[in-house]
Amino acid sequence: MTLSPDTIEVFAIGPWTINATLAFSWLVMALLVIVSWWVTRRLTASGDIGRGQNVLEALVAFLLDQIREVTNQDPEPYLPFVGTLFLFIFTSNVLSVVPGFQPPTGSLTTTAALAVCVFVAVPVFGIAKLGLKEYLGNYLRPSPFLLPFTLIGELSRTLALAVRLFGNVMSGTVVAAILLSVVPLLFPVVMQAFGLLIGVIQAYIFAILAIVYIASGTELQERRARVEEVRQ
Amino acid sequence: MGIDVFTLIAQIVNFVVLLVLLRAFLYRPIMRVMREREQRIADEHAAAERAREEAEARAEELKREREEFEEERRERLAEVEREAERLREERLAEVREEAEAARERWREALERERDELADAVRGDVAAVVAEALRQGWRELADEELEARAIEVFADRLGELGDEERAALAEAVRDGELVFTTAFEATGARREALLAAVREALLGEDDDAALEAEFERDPELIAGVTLRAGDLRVGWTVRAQLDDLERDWAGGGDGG
Repeated sequence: MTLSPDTIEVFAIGPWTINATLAFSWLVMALLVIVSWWVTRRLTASGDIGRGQNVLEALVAFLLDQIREVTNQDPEPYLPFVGTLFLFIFTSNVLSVVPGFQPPTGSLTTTAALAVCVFVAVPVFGIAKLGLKEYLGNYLRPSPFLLPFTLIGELSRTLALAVRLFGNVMSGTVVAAILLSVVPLLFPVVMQAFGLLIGVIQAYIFAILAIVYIASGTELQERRARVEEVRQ
Repeated sequence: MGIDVFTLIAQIVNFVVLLVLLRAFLYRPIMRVMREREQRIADEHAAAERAREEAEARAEELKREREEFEEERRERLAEVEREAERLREERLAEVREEAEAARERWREALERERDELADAVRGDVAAVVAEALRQGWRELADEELEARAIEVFADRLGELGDEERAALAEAVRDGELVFTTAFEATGARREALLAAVREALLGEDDDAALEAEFERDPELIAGVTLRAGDLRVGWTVRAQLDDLERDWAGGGDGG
């Protein structure tokens, strides 16, 4: 029994060894891109829309609503980043019920990579919204003494983000594997369905937390201005 | 269970690649289509709103036009009624006038007819009476009446106006005189007539010779007429009766 798809070697290209994590990530990516391309290649603005377009539009509208609720801002700039996070994790987790499929999100490396992306995205969006000086100034407020704690908070939440997703997905796979060896009939199916639910929830949580962190990086300025308004 | 650095970097790159691809193939087209649809719906809504407003305006306009038309129709109707009333009055007045004129014409015709009838009757009566008188006078006439008539003739000559007298005197001097009497004029009566003419027209002193012819016309009944050139003067019963008859017959004309 393997706990991480990182250790499964699929094939090698020259000096690079391609493990199951990368292979299945590409599979998920290819699936997403092909489906998107297939559906969006014949979009229509009329009321008579196809089934695929309907699903994608509903999905995008759902994401836009969630982002708008969290950020209270125009959701469009955040949609590609948050939407891609959600779709990648969601697809990986859902496909985990397919026998032989090793979800890339069950690898700590993958979740760490996604967490790093969020870690980088927070200042990128913050600076794009507020400007470099203003964004960095936020770290010194309300007091420069709190700077170390702020930095620790940034790092720890990134770590938590990575480990949370990894733990949930891996545990689902592991629990299913263990139960399969103990009670081979019926019960593993229930647990798999349960794992599917958890996987969907984790995808949602990861995406929502990412947008919350990004929003906290872009909202500080406005909050401070509001506080000063109240003080006056 | 550890983190493979190569896989970590590869996954980051994978994520960025996926992000770029999905942005190109999913988010952008979907957002574009959704925006287009929203825009289209907004456009259609605006168009519908515009059409509704236009329809309302048109309905309002039509209503106003209908009211105007109705008002105009009412005015026209009233005007036509007034015109009809006026025409009726005019026509009535014309008819009344015509009737009046016809009645007048009828009245005039009646009067004329009555006058003509009266004239005819009077003329007949005058003729009858004159004829009766003539008959009576014819029977009464004799030498004595003739003598009296000649005296009256002489008086008449004396009563002539100056102009008539002068004209007659001129005619007497120039031409011959013709006396017409009812009875055969005897010598003495001829002398008397000439003397009367000389006395009345020429004066006592004028001793010009007077040539005269004497004719007899029993139709005169009694009396004498003198013709000198174009002039004529006299007094006869016949002339008196003719005058009388003429007067009576022409009495209808107011004379």
